Amino acid sequence: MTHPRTSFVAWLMRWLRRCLRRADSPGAGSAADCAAVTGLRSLDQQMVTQLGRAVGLSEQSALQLVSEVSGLRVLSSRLVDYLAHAHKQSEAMQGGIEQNSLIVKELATFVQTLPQQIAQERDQLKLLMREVKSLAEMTDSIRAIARQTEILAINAAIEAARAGESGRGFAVLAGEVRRLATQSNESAVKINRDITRLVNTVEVNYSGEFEARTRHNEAEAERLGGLTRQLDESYVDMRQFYSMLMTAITQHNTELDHGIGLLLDTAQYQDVFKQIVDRVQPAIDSRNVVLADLIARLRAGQHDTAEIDARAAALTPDYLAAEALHRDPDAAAAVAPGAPGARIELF
Amino acid sequence: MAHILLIDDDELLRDTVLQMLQRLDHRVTEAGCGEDGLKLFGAGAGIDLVITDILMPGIDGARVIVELRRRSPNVPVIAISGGRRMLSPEFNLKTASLAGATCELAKPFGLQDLRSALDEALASDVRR
Repeated sequence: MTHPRTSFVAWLMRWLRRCLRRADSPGAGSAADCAAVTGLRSLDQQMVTQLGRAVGLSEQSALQLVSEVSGLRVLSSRLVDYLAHAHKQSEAMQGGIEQNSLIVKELATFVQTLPQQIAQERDQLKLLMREVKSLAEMTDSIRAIARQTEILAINAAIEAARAGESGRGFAVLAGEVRRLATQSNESAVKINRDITRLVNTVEVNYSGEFEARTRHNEAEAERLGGLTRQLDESYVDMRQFYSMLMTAITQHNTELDHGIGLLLDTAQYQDVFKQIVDRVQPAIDSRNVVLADLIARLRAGQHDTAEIDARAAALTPDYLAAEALHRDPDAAAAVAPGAPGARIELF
Repeated sequence: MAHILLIDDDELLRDTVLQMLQRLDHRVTEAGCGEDGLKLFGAGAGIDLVITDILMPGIDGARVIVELRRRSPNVPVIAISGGRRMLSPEFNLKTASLAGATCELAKPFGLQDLRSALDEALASDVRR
């Protein structure tokens, strides 16, 4: 589809060329010889030149725009493709994260059971301590028996000294010794029984079960250690995922920003085009005024056109002077910054 | 013969790739991490091409590529990656591509794969 402004320029150029052809045609007569007409022709030629430049700039910038927009499209397609991969990757990571939460639950369960196990072992230890204390009491009992036996032995020695006088005292002492022997025997049996029970308690609670539980806990700790390492690797991977995502997208956006900058630079040529066309309009208006005055004077039979000739002759220099106040960006780039000169045609 | 900078934190793999590159008559400078790789690249060693791993501790391969592009937009870069527990090689290599890698190679690769990637990268003096 043709842009309205382009079609207007095309029409304008056709019209100007037609004017030039008419002025050049053999039948143009006295008007063609008139200096005013020569001035108008000169202006028309300059306007055709400027409009041709404008069309050239417009075409060039349009092609450039198409090329740059195509480049941006490729860039954005790459981003879309990348984001699709990133999405797939994040979904896969989601599975990993769910697995990680199971690992965390297992770790929590293990850690939660530890206090229970410790409490159970503390209770068993208390029981063991009670058993040990009861043994200590037995030891006290044996000590008391020993003390009494010692006293008895002393008494027996004393009675032995009197042996010749009376043997009755020995009979009493013998009875006491028997009683103590019986008591010692009972205590020994009780101690033996308590020790057996203590050994059994230790064996049951602290050998088999304790060892099994310790082995289980060691195995669990090792397994959970492996899972914890997996957890750590997952966090490293997740951190790297987001870091790489940010790097890639930042880099892509930098390129996109650069591409958009180029696009805007190129788009400014469209404004240059508009400005050139806009500047043609006042020149045409001035031209038409001069032409109307010329026609009116000729129709009125006044052949002195010197004043109109001078106005017509001034049209082209005026137009070119106005054009010279403007400069396209390429030409402007060749001028040192800050140097006096034409206004740069940008937005 | 090209002067190639090889960046990979995996010593075993680096050694394997080094031997492949030497078999292909290239001169190789090695780096065990992104930081060292960038230092060597900036040391005026006259590097013709860079091969970099993507998943590395510290400065990862994607950031290495971005920095290489900033310093030298035309140096060809081959990205290599094998993936990890939660990161697939496809994603890593796509990231490398968006960051500016000239071409990508999934680990593990053979001599022929490496030769093709080198031919492609060395033939392209401008980034994609």
